[in-house]
Amino acid sequence: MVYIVLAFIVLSLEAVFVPSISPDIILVLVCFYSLKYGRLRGVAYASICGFILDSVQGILIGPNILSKSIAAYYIRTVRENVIQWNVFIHLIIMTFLSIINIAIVRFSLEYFSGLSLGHNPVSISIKETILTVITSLILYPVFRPDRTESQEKVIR
Amino acid sequence: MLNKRLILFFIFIIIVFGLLSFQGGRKDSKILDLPLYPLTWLEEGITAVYRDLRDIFNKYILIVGIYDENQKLRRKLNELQMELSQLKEIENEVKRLRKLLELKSQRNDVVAIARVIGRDPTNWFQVIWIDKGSQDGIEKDMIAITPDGLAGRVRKVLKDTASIILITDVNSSVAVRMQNSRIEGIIEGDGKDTCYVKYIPRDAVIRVGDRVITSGVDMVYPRGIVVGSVSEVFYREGDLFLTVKVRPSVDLRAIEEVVILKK
Repeated sequence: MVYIVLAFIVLSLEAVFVPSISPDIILVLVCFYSLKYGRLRGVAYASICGFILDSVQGILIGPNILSKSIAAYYIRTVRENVIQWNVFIHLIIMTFLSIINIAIVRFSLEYFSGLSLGHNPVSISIKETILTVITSLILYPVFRPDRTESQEKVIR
Repeated sequence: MLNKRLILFFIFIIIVFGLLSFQGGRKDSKILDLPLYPLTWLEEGITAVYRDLRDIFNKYILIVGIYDENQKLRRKLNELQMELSQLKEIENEVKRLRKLLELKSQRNDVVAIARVIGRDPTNWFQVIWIDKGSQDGIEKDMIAITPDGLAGRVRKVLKDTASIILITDVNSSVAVRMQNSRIEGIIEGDGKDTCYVKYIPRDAVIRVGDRVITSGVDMVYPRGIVVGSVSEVFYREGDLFLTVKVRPSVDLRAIEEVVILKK
């Protein structure tokens, strides 16, 4: 519940204070949540956040649900197959997921709603990806996805 | 266990695809509006708090900082500076509001004057949110202007808030005319902060600085509203039409209030 409220607050702050290109902080939150709480909860949280984002865009229900769910599932799957998770691996995965997220949303909006986003400058997507990766780097020490659950319990 | 999870996830993806296919071409769903209410309330609250804090900082804190620094030597001057700062803030707000009232008195098709409370937080659309909605008489496709010119068109309306798609959005199209030469064209946004006029014949005489106004032929935007001014004119070899770049007359990144006109 806290993370859902956090998603609302993040979107509101972005809407009020960021007049130009903003990072996809929701994607960053979804990935950290999935790494921390597991695949099932991660996909559920991603679906809720995706639904909120779809509402903000007001075109279709689904593009952001799809993209964020795939991101949550994928990053957790990679985490389970990588023994030593570190910030570099995390940033590479986040770059990949940010690009995939943009591609999925764009494809869904164009194909299912008939909107034309072909003239949207590519530079916006590139800047968004860079900002998203930087945000992920800034929040990495806060969420510490490199720690396993047992390490977390010991620290507490 | 692993295969079962993957299968379940694929089923989920198929369901979402099915949902997307089902929605294609249908009208706006009311379900989409549900999360917007808490979001717009939060945006209104944050905007109100931010504006109050900004006013306090401009009127008092900066001056107190200067006052501490010059306390011994310029006491009286600092008091006058505080008063001047307060008056300047009030003057700026009065100027802005006066322009809006003048605009309202000049036109008989004004529905409402609204404050901007937020922008689209995703980067796909050039959209702003305002603090008036259907309960204030606002309907979809109404026009939004400022004293400086055209801002956009109402896209989505809730009970007490609405969204406006700006003229710089790639999905925005406005029928326009060059004020001097009277040549008509269609202006479209570039997704950032400028627009391009299309379908201008290559032999047309267009100069940098020429004013661009709405022509009214699209039966959506009233004619005669200032859209912007020409900032660049060029053509590529093989193109049939000129490419005319237009700088909007409204600073769409700093817009604070809009006037909504009837359709």
